[in-house]
Amino acid sequence: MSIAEGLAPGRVRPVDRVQTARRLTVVLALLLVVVSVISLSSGATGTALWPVIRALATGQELSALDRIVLVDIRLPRLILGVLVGAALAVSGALMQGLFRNPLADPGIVGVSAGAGLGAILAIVLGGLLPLALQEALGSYIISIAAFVGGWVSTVLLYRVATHGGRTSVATMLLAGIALAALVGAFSGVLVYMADDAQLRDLTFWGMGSLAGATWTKVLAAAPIILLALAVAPSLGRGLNGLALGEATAMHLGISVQRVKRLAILVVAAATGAAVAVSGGIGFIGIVVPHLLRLATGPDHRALLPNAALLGATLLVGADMISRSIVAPAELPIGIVTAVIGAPVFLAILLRRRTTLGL
Amino acid sequence: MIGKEIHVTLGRREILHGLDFAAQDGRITAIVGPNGSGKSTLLKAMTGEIAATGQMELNGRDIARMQPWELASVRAVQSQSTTVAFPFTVLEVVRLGHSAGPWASEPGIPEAALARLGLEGYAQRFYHELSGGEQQRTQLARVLAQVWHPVQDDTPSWVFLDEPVSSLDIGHQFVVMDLLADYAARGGGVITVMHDLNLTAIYADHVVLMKDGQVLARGTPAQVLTDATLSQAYDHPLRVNRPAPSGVPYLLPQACRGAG
Ligand SMILES: Nc1ncnc2c1ncn2[C@@H]1O[C@H](COP(=O)(O)OP(=O)(O)OP(=O)(O)O)[C@@H](O)[C@H]1O
Ligand SMILES: [Mg+2]
Repeated sequence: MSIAEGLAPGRVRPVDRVQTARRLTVVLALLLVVVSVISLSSGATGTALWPVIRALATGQELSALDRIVLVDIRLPRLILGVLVGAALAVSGALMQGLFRNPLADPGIVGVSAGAGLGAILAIVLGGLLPLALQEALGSYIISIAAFVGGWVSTVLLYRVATHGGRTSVATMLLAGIALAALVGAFSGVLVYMADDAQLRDLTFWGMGSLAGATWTKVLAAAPIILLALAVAPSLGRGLNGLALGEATAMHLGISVQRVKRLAILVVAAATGAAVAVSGGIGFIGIVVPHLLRLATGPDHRALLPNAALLGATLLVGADMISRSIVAPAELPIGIVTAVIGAPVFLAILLRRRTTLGL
Repeated sequence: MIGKEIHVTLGRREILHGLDFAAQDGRITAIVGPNGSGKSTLLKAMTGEIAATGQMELNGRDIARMQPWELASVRAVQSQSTTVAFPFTVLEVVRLGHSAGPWASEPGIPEAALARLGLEGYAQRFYHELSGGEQQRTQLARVLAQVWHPVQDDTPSWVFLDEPVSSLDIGHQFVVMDLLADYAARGGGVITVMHDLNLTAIYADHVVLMKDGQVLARGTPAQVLTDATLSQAYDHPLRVNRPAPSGVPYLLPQACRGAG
């Protein structure tokens, strides 16, 4: 190595970070499997997974308790955690690409709050809908209402915070605060109107928790989230182009309006469905894409699938922590993700303030 | 590239007032003129970036009827300023151009484009850590990687550039202008906004001089770059020199300063 090379400024990175990211996908998938197995085999009742599997393999009957614990409690909770974690992380990555800003996150800029308002509306006022419609929508009504709420707030936020394809961070965060305040006020009125049963639903839901996981909730969220996750990777190329600005993206052959509209829809669907079944679990959408960009770069074609996997893993892991740290009681999972996520958010903010004069 | 009766209105002001424009493949066409005369606006109208009325054709096809991906396969564009939102490396930025063009499956083009712009050692550097001139060259490499071969199935490819040498040192100004001349000589079309009238005089085959959203003069550099026309365009007395053997006009600021 010559002296000049040794002193060459700038950090050296592996030549093709997308290749590295693809290898990371495999690792993350394995990690998710491992964490899922651990999650299934740990819990308050002490039911362990291996004896159950051994019993199944040798053709023995499951005890009633084991079946209830595994099939009706832990499995739906695990699946819900995977779905919600993936949805939140992918929503974060999509919003950051859309707003061209690593601080955009459905939780922070008020999209979750908007989705929450939709969900509360559905809980409190859902009974006013025509009976036929109620029956047709069934358990989807909260998810759908949350989706609409999330969609309206994303569109609103984008209109306010983005001008000529540029997003002002300050405007974005402030608009998010305003939106959250507005939603909080509306929600307050609705909570005031709610009867006792509805109030219990609301409190439970508002804590941001996977504790209420049931198969009904899994079925209410799964189709919407899976559809959103399936569409998201097709936005990778478009969001890469958008990173160079709207005009350059268009010159690169990207239908900018289509990409933006689709990204907003996917964010609203994924966030809405996640909020509907688990309340406001924050910071997953900030932490996961940030870690992945540090590891393998900002290319959205790899970032989006990896975010789904890491988001799922992280939330299932956080759920285990929330169940075990004050056992036999339970900490709301939102507290765990906030403790992990808030410092990361601040770190990004500080870095950007020094490098970009935010 | 032909544009007829181009009108552009931004906000409430009409910026371009029905101007005609023509550029040939195999040539460098330079758009010059004072600040705010509408050069960038004209370029944006021709690349489909902003809405314009009038007729615009690229290789005989109506631009308004072409899809973004169709346009991207025949022309690449460098804007006056480009920011990159996330920490992409230089090579990744250039690959974004490469993968958008018709040669996406031909390997090695991004690296070759970087080499043409003297950025061999820069592939793994972060774009946002480069100097202004290095960023400008990276963007040019991205443009070049998108339409790497100047001719594709007998139809020319085009590059549209907004002041491609504005941040470059004099050495790299020549590197870039030579590169553009080579692209045109091999059959491609080059349309570039320029501020440096001397480089324009040396390299342009055709010059369009704009003022107040209209074309003040057009023709060869020798025809357009005259004392009278330039003084009128820039509202400042300017004196053009013509050395005998080459006839390429040149301006010396020293000769213009305080004249009048
Ligand atoms: N978005 C906009 N809205 C309103 N007016 C605009 C807009 N963009 C540009 N203009 C105006 O249009 C005119 C032409 O601008 P344009 O950017 O085309 O100038 P230019 O010739 O490229 O100048 P420069 O040499 O400074 O790059 C200017 O008077 C400018 O103020
Ligand atoms: Mg300009």
